[in-house]
Amino acid sequence: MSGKRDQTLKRVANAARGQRVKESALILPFVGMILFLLPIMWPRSSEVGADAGTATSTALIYLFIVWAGLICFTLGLALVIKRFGVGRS
Amino acid sequence: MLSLDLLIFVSLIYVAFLFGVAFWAERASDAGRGGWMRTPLIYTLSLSIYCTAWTFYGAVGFAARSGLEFLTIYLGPTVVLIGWWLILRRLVRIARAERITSIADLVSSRFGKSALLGGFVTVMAVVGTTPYIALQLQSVTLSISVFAKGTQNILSSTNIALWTAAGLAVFTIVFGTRNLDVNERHSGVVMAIAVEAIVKLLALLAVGVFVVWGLAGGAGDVLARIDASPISQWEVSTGRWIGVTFLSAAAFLCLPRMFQVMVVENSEESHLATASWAFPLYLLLMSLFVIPIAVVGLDILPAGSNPDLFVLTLPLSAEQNGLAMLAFLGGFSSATSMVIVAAIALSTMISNHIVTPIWLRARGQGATISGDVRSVVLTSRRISIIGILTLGYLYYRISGGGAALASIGLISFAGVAQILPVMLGGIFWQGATKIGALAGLICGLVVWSYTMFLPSFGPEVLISQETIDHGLWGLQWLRPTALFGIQGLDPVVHAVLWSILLNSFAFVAGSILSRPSPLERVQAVQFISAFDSGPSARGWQRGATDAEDLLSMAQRIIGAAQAQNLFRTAAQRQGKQGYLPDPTPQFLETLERGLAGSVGAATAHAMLGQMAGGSSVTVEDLMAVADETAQIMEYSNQLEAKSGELTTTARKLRDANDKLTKLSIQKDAFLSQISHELRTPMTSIRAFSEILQDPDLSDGDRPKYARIIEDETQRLTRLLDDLLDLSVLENGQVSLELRQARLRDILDRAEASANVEQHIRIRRSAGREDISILTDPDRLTQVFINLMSNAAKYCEAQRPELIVSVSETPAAITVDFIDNGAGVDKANQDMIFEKFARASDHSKAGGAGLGLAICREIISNLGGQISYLPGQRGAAFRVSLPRD
Repeated sequence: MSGKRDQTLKRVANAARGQRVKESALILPFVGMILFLLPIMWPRSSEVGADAGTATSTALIYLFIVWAGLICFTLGLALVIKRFGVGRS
Repeated sequence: MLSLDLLIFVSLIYVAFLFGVAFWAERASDAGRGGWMRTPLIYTLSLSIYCTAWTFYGAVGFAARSGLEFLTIYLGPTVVLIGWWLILRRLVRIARAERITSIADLVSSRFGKSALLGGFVTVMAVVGTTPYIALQLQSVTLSISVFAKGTQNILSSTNIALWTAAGLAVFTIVFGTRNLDVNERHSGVVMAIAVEAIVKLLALLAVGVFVVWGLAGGAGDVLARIDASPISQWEVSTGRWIGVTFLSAAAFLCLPRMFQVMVVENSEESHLATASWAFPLYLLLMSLFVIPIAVVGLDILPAGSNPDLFVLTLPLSAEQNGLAMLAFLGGFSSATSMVIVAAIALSTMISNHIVTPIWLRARGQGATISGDVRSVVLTSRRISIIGILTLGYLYYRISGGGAALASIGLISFAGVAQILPVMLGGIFWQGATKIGALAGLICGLVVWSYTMFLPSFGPEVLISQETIDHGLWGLQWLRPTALFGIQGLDPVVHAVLWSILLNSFAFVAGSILSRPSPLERVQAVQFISAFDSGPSARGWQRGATDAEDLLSMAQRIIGAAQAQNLFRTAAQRQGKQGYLPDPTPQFLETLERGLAGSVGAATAHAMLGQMAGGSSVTVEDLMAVADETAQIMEYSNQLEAKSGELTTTARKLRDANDKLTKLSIQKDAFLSQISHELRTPMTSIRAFSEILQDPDLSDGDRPKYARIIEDETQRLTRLLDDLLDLSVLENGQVSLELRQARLRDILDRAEASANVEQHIRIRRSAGREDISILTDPDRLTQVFINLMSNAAKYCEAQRPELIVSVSETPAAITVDFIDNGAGVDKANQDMIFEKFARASDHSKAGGAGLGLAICREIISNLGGQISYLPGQRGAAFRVSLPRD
């Protein structure tokens, strides 16, 4: 009896995880898009003066960190999906 | 300085090495040892053809000119890949299910296998890719010219471009069109571009590391140099940042070569999951050192140096010949891998969507021999490859190779991005139609050509300065750089914005205003519900067909002996013993033709497709099967109807036969009856005649016997009269004298003529008998007399009584004759109207048993009917006569 219940619980947990993974996979590109588009709102020295403007090196570091972060998240999702076979049902 | 001869020598060795890799991979794949080649890593590396010479050399130039904006070229694809779950997964799934071979095939297939759309997308792809190929030729030429500086060599830049194009054509033809694969996969080519992917990544990383830690003083120093450089400030334009990111994402999905490696060459859906992070990582590494290289190049190299070539010129300036050589090979790899895959993808599209349809149409009906098609397809592909590279070379010559690399690349991107709305609409929107798709594509192509492509050749080449300044036909709002009067936008953003907007608008409007064909509807459902159709995540199982399975199937369809014969012949032709040949395409074709003879072409194709391909049956197959089934069903229905007709006829014949048999029996009975009836009086007449001749006869007896003879003669005469009467009535030859008469008069006459008052009392209800009726009174009287005398004869009551009652209904007049006797036995009720039928004692009846039969015939001739009425006091007969 308890074995059966455990299995059911496992299945429910799997289904819930599948749903979470799917939703994350759908949201991630939009998060990435927003993060990549953020810098266009940063102040430019041509508009606010040389001192208040954003330096290329700052933007460079920001973009590469976001980029690397997204890669890590995608890697994590890919591993979960590969391991549990989400979407293969 | 590196000598040009050495450079060319090393390049040739590198090319030979690539040939070797491709050749070895093809061999391994053919021998079934290619499993490891279809790994996620190789798949990811093959995606790197996105990074062409444009990104290899051009990114640094781009960065040196506009700072971080170059990143947009990489950010678009990154977003697409991390969103693989949304679009790429769907594309791969659909392409697998529908056996898509190119992006033109995808669009054509989605919109009802439209040859027109396929051809159109192919033309767009060729037009969009040509500048890009020119760009690769230009970059190879430029990079070689760096080494050729100051040396005298027979190789002019034009020559280099020509030789490069020729060499690429040879490589592509050798490995891209070696054979026809149903899945359009090319393991040799994929392996070669994977190697090239590693070479170009290593080259760029090596140059980057050398620049950061060799030329500059490490990461900190580089950041300081960035801050001190001309591109130190974040100055990207919002429109370009968004526009180019979108454009690169769109192009990543729509470029024919990307579609080829990403979707068509994908052998396993799960590879996408790996590529979703690995390819963005690849892009990140490719762009990691771009800004440092650009900044250090701007810093160190003399002013006016071409920033597009910093990757080469920086190592050269530091006398790092080996590194420069590696960088050159990296750039060379970027250029060649792109051109090879683009040429393969485009040649597939040209042969499948332009040449083959035209050839088939020209051939007409005779095009079913697939061997012929194969050679035509391969030849057309080879010619297409040469044609595509020639076009690229011509574009390079015409455009003069002067424009900055980046701008040419963007023109190309915007061209192929026109396919995006139709592609996305096709896989997500069920209401999209062929007319809409065509409208969108035409609109996009026209706007893109007008605002971007034609002006790219420069003023007065394809478009006049007048038009550029004042718009088409002098209409200001039609200026190619300021459509609808909107000025101040970046040209690229302007062109992309309007072309994609108008394209999407035309697509949506066209789809809403038109109606899809049935095949389009079916395909739409197939595409939209790609994930509802169960697990199809398996790869194509090549060579999964078992000859034994095929044989057992074939035996069932065309019969054991014939199937075995077919298989043995095929095996012998392959040089094998026994009944099981290898399931080669040729053999499958033969088998399909064999099966088609029995089950129809479409069914045979579908059956073999299921067994041999392991892939699902296409809609066309199913529709053809349905057609055949419908035909068979119709035929079967016809057979059923005919069989039903035959059954009915047989039943009628059987009934007729039964009737004839009965009639024959009746005839026999009648003859025996009549001979008996005639014989009885004749016997007594003869007997008494003999007695009369006796001389001893007393005088008293003589008149007595003479009277008996007379009686018998009268009876005989009456019998013959009755028979004659019946025969006339039965043959319908009787002539009735119809006239109006009163029923009461007829009954009176009958009562008087029957003359039975001493035997039976007749009770009538005179009031009801006052009815006028159109009839033959004499014949009707005859019937009534018969019924009355029958009652008198057979009624055995103490005081015999006959009630004659008349009643009227709207349709008929009925006259009932009911006596108070014993009635007729139930068993006899059915036969009393038959000839010579007598219900009771023979002796009592004076007649021959024809009375009721005659009555029935008379009444039926008068249009009425006579029947026995059971359940009354005694015998009861009902005569129904029709009203006028």
